Amino acid sequence: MIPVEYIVLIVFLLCVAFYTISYGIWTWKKRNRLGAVMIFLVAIISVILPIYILIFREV
Amino acid sequence: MDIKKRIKNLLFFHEPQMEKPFILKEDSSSDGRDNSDIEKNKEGSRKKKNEDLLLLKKLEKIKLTDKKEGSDKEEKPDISKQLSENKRVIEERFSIPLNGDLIIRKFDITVKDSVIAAFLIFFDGLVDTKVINDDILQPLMLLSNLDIKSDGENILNYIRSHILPHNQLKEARTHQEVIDEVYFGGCGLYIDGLDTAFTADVKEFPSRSVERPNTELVIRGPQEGFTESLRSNTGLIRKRLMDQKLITENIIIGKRSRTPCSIMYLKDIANDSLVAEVRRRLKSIEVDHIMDTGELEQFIEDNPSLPIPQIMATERPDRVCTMLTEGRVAIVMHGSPFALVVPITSSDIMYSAEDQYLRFPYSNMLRIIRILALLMSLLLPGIFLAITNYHHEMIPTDLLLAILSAREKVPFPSVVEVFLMEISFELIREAGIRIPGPIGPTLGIIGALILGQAAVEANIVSPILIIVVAVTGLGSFAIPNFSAGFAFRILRFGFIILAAISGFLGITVGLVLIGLWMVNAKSFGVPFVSPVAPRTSGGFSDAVFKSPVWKQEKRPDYMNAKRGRKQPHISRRWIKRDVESNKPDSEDNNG
Repeated sequence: MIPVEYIVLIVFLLCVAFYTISYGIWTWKKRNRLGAVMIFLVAIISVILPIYILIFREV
Repeated sequence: MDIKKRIKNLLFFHEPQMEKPFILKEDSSSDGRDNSDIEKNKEGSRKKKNEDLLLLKKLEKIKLTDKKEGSDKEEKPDISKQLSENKRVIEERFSIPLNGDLIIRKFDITVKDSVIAAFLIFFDGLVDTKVINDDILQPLMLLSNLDIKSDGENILNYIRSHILPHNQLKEARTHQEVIDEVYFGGCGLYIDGLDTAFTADVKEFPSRSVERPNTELVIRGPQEGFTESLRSNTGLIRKRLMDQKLITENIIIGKRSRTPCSIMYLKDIANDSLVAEVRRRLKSIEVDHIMDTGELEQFIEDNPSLPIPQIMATERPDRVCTMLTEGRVAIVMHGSPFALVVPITSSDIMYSAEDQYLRFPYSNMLRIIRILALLMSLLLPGIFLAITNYHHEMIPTDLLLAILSAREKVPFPSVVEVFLMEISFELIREAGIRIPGPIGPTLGIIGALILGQAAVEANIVSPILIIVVAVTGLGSFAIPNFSAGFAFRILRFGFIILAAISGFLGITVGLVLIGLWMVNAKSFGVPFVSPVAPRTSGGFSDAVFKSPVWKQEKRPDYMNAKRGRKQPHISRRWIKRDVESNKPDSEDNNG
């Protein structure tokens, strides 16, 4: 069972990632392709890494 | 609907709709490059010419819009030939008879065998009544009867040329011009049959004399400070900077207060676009009343949210002169003993006026001490908290044990202790300023000794924290800029919170955030951390250290002044024995 605090944190992280991705799309439209790819990467890592550490990694 | 829109705004990135900020670029007429540089850049000269042409066009555009703005604001002549009509307008504008200190003196002038009615207006208390009696009223009432040989002149010219001997006589075509002059210590003269009024400068404001500056005291250097009188202040600048290219432009700010201001700059050094930008910002201010340059600074600064000041406020005329010679622009305001100088960089706020007058090893030592003071003022309580709470391994064990044993009986966590002491210190400082003169130092003694001692003995704070707070306080007093002192005090509290939350990690995050904030800031188009970022000639060494006076050959690169060079490569001509001291040198012609 995932604690409520974790769920709140994950929702917050998803919102941040969503905003970052929308920024990446704007950057892509501005023809800064490499910048956009890096932004997508940062957005994905900033969600996946905390979720992995919070839920799957056993301390 | 609104909530949906807000959520959408929060979740989606939107392109910021910002106006293009002003950036100070190199002036088209600049000769800031060395001859060697010009040789190197010959290949790219065509490209440069195109850029220059574009810049020139932009400057012309700015000038045109300035002229257009000026012409829009010019009022139509509204002074009537009927004296009674003019008197009615004046009485209405000045709310006569409700207004008690405006004097309207009616009299007759006898000009060429005809008697003409006239009246003079002025404010009691703003003018020199002796000058009014001797130079205005006496000639008009008594000497106008003299037989002066002048044919074919109209009354206006006759009075101006033969009757009124005052040295600053102006003609006004609108009532507003007269009113502005009257408020600025002048008098207005209306004559029947003329649609032009005369104004004369007869001001004698109640004001203090030139005294030592309170906030920027120096040991070596001039001891004069600005006063509250505009003309006295511009005079103090002109007295030092005897340069025929020094321009003083007059401008009025405040719809109702009509506060006179002056923009001062060196015409052949200051960048035209910078002067135009200062003029544009000042002219565009829409406010009823403005009392001090402190208010004006907030109206024209680039980044109001940045705690560190981006405009230099100084009460030293010599400092203003030094900055004007570097291509900066000064703003002097009537009623304020502080002049504003723009643009500035982060390094300027750490320098004192004395730095220029001291020999360079001394001023460099002082600069290093000031930088240490800044770091202590900003970070010391934060570092203390970080070390005692998180990073015990960073200090020797003996010292750690001493700190811990001193804190043994203190019932509060160290962050509460730091806050208590910092707030007490700020209280003492604030109370010391407000308390009347003779009691002030006593309060300092009470605060520092008795309160500190008592707090330690009562086990409310630890003795080591008293040392930390005292050193922090000393550091903040060593910062030469008054506004910057405030900024670092505010930021210090931020660092205390960050250090309490996550030790050195928090302090690092704070430093990075402040760094980003400062790198992003501009002061009138000049990057705030120049010449470090963006790096220009001189770079870090110019930002921190002062070279000898005879080696200060160039003006700051980031100023993009019209003349980049201040003095030739060899300014101490006497070291060259083969050169006669009065022989002109090609290098002397500023590059």
